[in-house]
Amino acid sequence: MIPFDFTYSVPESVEEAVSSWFSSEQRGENPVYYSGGTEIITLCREQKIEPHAVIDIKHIPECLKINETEDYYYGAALTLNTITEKTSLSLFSAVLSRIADNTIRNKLTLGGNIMGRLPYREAVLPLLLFDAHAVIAGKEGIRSQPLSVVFDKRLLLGKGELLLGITFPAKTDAAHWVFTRKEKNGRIDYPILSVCFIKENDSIKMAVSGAFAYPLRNPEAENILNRQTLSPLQRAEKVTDYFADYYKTDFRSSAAYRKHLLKGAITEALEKLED
Amino acid sequence: MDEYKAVGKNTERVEGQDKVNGKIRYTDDLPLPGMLYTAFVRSSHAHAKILSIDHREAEKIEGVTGVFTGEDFPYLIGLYLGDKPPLAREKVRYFGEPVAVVVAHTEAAARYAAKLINVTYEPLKVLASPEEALKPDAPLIHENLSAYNHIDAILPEPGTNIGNRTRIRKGDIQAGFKAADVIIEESFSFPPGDHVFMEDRIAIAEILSDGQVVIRSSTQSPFGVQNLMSSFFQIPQRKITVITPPVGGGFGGKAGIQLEPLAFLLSREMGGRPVRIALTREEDLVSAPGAAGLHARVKLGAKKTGEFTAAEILFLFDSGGYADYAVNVSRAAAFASSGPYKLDNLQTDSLSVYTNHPFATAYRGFGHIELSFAVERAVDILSEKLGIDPVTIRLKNSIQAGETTPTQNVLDNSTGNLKECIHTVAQRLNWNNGSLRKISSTVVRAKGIACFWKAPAIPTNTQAGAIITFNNDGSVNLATGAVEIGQGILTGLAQIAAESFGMDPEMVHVVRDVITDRSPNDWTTAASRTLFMAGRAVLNAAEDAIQQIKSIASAVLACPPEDLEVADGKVFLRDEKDTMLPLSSMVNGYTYPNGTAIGGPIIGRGKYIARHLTHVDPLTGKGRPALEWTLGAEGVEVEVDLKDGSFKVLQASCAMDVGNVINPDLARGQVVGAMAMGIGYSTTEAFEFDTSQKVLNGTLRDFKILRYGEHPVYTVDFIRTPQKDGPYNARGLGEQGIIGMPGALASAFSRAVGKQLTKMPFTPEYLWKQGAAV
Amino acid sequence: MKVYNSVQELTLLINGEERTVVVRPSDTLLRTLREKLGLTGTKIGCEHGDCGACTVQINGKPVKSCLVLAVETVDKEITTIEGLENDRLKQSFVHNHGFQCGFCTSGMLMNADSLLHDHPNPTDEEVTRYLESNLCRCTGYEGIQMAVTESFYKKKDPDSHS
Repeated sequence: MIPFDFTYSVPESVEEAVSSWFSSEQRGENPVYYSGGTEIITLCREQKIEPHAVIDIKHIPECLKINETEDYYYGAALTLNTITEKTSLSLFSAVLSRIADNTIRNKLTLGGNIMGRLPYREAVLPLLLFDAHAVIAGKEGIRSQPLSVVFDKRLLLGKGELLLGITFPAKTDAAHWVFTRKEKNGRIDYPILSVCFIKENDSIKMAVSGAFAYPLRNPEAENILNRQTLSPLQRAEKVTDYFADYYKTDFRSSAAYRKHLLKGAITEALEKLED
Repeated sequence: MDEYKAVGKNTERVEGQDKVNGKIRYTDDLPLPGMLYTAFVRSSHAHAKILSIDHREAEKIEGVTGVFTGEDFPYLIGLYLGDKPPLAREKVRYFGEPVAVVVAHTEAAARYAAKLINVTYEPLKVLASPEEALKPDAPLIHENLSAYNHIDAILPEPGTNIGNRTRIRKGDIQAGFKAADVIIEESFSFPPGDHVFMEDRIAIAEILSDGQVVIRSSTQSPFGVQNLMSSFFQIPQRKITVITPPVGGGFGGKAGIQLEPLAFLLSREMGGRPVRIALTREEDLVSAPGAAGLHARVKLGAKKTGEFTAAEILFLFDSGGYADYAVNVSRAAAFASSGPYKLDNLQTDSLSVYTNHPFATAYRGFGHIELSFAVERAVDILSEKLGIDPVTIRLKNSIQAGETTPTQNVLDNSTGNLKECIHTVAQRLNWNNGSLRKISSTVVRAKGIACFWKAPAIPTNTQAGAIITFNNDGSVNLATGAVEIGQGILTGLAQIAAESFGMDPEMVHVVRDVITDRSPNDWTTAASRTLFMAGRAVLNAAEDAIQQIKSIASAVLACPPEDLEVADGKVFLRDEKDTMLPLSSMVNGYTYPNGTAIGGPIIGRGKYIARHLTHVDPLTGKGRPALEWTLGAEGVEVEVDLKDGSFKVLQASCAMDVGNVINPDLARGQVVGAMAMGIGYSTTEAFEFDTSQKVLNGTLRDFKILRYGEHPVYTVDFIRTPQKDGPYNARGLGEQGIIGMPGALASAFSRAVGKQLTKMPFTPEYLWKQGAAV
Repeated sequence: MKVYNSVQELTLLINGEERTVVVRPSDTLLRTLREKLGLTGTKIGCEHGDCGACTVQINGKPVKSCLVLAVETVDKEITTIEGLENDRLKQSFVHNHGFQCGFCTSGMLMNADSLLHDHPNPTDEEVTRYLESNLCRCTGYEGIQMAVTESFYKKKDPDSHS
């Protein structure tokens, strides 16, 4: 039950979508781009947001495309289940298939998970490790920028800009990865820790969410991770100490527990990846 | 079970086909023409003075027909203790309390307008626990407690935050502790929670032109609503009709009176038009009443050999901002406070204490799940100190026929066999193979056991009725006042009726909706007493109908009525079965071949009222409040990874002495469902508060109940010591399966982490912390 | 570009029937089914995507209808409990007591039907992956597990859960 009205439009091209956003904005309609809508509908019901123009991007070809031949590309309006069914990247699939629940994953999209208000944005974790680019459309056209530049706690979009998809150079499935997810109690919940590791060219990379207020990949932490003179436990202790100020405390868990879980996850991942 | 035709059989649920086809109609599935919708403004503070409510902007919204605040409805209502205004007046007493309501032509307009209402508050000191509320300098949550109306059995203490105090004084505890070789004393606690039935609460009220108040409500207490509405608003009883279709889960949370008074008041303001109050899930969780929290202290003494000598118990129930059922929950907990153990020297004080938490009402187990956690923990701690196995110490102290309850009643020879229940559960758990096992360097498997008992906490004059009529084919219509809340009561009663008439349950049509102006009176569908009492009423109604059948048949067949029997749709001579009449020929009048008719519609009238219950003495608790006790034992096996406290409940076992089983599948379903609820209750279902006592997890996303895949393997065993006054020797079993779960899980988790745990919920983080501290 | 303004007439394909209905673009499919089309078998449990009581199928996939706008479903096939033709599954729920109060049942059945369509012989993990999307407060899931298990004829000891 959404207690107010909005206009719902279905652009069929990027240009239509963006110009529709700006003309709605000019009319003071507080427009939103809409793909899965699971979060927007909920926020509207609770009247935490009140858009009067909803622009559905699910009919824009660039938002629905999936390509795993040359440059990999995943449209922002693909549902998580569509990607898990089609992708050859087992880490990507493993992470996406733990977000929300199976029924919701038939509606929740990649773009929605990345662009939503919820801080976890777990879909970003493997993408940060794949050195992916965000393909962003705006008034000035389409740009593709690395997440390392354009993702800082959240995707930094300009006014009226729209995430079309995610791309990265062709990739064979990295067999060497570890994904650990912990919840307060019960699988169907937000994570108190969600962490991905991959090993590429003898180097281990890590991206973390849940434990912190936002998803993070940190070069300094990765440097420590790869100091092979130290034991996995020593490295885990150093990395988790390095993040001392990052851990979140909320009703789901304390910072101390989150830190403990991360330490355990790092130790196990290093042992497994260096085995 | 071959002696029975219908009882003891797994008859298909009578409303089952409609439930799997989406055709069953709950209250919200039947909107009324011209119905108005509502939306609430809820308090953003846990304890605050209301300074102003500005609703001018809300009134301007198209479709809004009225905005109301507490000042519009100067009533104080309450089930036992009249402490609650329909909307908060002058101050709010918990986070989420309804402060204002918008009525509108559409739900959208009502919700949109409600958001525009601006309330200003002056925060007051919040009371975050019963202990805080009992401090001498604690502010009073109800300043006018002395002026409130209440029933005699409830004893509020004006000038304090105590809504009720129940005392048990049995034997001599000084002497008992003196005789003890070992004494333990420990505190236990857990925060409030919620029922989380799938159907949110809803009531629709309208007032017809002749003043008839018609209320459609998802309630366990249609007759209770009728009675209370009549006394709150001085409406003549005959002018109130409550209609209750099947209910989408109750668990105690829909007993008593809830949304109905406000729905009525709003309909009256709207000239009698139907007004619907349907809670959102968030409102149902936080604004509407839930399960009480508990802070308890138990001192327990025993001989070296394990026999208990005395107990001193303090229960502080966290009733939240209002009393509702909590004042009686705390009372019931006192009456059963020893747990199912022989305790000749017992002193209990059980208090219902106001705090600034969401208020509490009846919750499956009604005080017994709470008390059981505290008592079973104490028993385990004592058993550890004595070095006696937890199973052995329970067997040693099991209560039996001839011994006395906390209220000093002697248990009669219908009393269940607790020892057999304990043995059965221990066997199901393979207890003798050890209760703690290492699986890997960090993973352990641990077992735990607990006992439980429960009697219905009911008024001394609790009653039930049944009416049986017949269709021309000889089939039966059965109407009672029992509400189908998922427990399968309609099916159970159909089986009892069918058994009485010696017919197939398919030949019994059970009326589904309870409508107070045509259904026979029934106290309330709660306390696990419905099968017992409504079942007895059905037996009584069938007997009444059978007498009438025999009386007519004796004229037609020219024989004494006592030579006749009724079965298989016929009335026949016992020793000459071919001399008979089909019921179809005579249940609505018998017509002789020459056209002359006798009889007329047969109407079976049945009734039952609780037997030999008495009030209790306010100083000692002496009296008889309990109709029949259901006893049992439960056990679990858990697997815990000590490195982070994560766990899985592998097995949950229950053995319960139920007297007899009317429908084994439905009975098992009740017990299994209750065990699952008990797992959630103990591990996830607790409100989390910030320092100002705002609820942090007030959505179903954050307030977790058990999901598919988190459930264990269940075993259920029924022991059958006949309940001699029960219908076909059966006794109540709907709630009992939840009661032992907190104790059993606490026992297992304590064993796993190597430390006696005293607080719930058992989250992985809590287990990790406790385990790491060892 | 299709634009739906404040109140709109839509034709939806529901349970094999074309139904024309007037909605606001902000109306969810759940409210449209219940309040505009009389399909009250789909239940409101939380309107937050947490309980699954409102689960319907869109193009054969289970979806929580509280998280779908009616306007999004134009040109799609919607199936609700009233149109579910899997009688074997329904009877299996009745016989195995896969419900008590029945309030979660419509959503549970719609989801279980999709499960058995996508995975005619599902593993325990697949059953959990689907059914953990729906809450049931009455049964403790034992009856539901038995009902789903029986309806794909993979015989199991009713007491076992793995």
